[in-house]
Amino acid sequence: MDPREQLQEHELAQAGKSETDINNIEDNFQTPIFVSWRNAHMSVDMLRIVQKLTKNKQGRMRILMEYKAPVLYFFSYVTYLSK
Amino acid sequence: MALIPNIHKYLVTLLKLLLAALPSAKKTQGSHSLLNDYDLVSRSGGGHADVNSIELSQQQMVDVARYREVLAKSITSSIIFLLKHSRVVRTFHNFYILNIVKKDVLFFELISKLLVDNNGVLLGLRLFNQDIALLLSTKNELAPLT
Repeated sequence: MDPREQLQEHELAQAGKSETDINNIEDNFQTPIFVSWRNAHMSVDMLRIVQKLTKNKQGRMRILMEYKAPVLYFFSYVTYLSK
Repeated sequence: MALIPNIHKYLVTLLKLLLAALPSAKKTQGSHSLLNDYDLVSRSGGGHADVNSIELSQQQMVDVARYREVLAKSITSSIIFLLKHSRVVRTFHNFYILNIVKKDVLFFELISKLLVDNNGVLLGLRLFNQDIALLLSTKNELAPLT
């Protein structure tokens, strides 16, 4: 089989797939997931406070390490490296 | 500024309230005092009995949870506002240092040191050690009255 025809068939299959996906997404939009904006705002603010407090402060970042917060420690370390 | 001599009191009270209002808070003295506050607010100074002996209905439990969410959100946003404001003040007065002599140059350092000494970082850690997805998907809202 000609590879170009194969490619065309593949593209057509992909297009069909994407159409069905879009339909599925539209179906999913009818029942949206609930997100409590208040808790989201609170957690984002908490992250910003922790980031502000531990920026360029080695001892404070060590507090994060001692209390086993690998994710938070990772983010503050990345911001420290990117400077 | 009258803020600076009293800032440690304000920050300590803010952090205590935040500790009581965070969803990870267990049933300690802080949450009890929050429940008492809620009771005072809702009854507007009526007969104030011990809340722990009263069985709250489901509607009231949702209202208490919502009250705690509102408290936690407002306290975190006010703390971040204080931090940002102190940054701005500091740079502003460094810029115009010739015109203004006695100002709060280390205001941000003061606030951040107070926050760290009163375990402000550990509060955040305690919040993020639990399940965040569960926290974001909880619905503590009552249906509107018709």
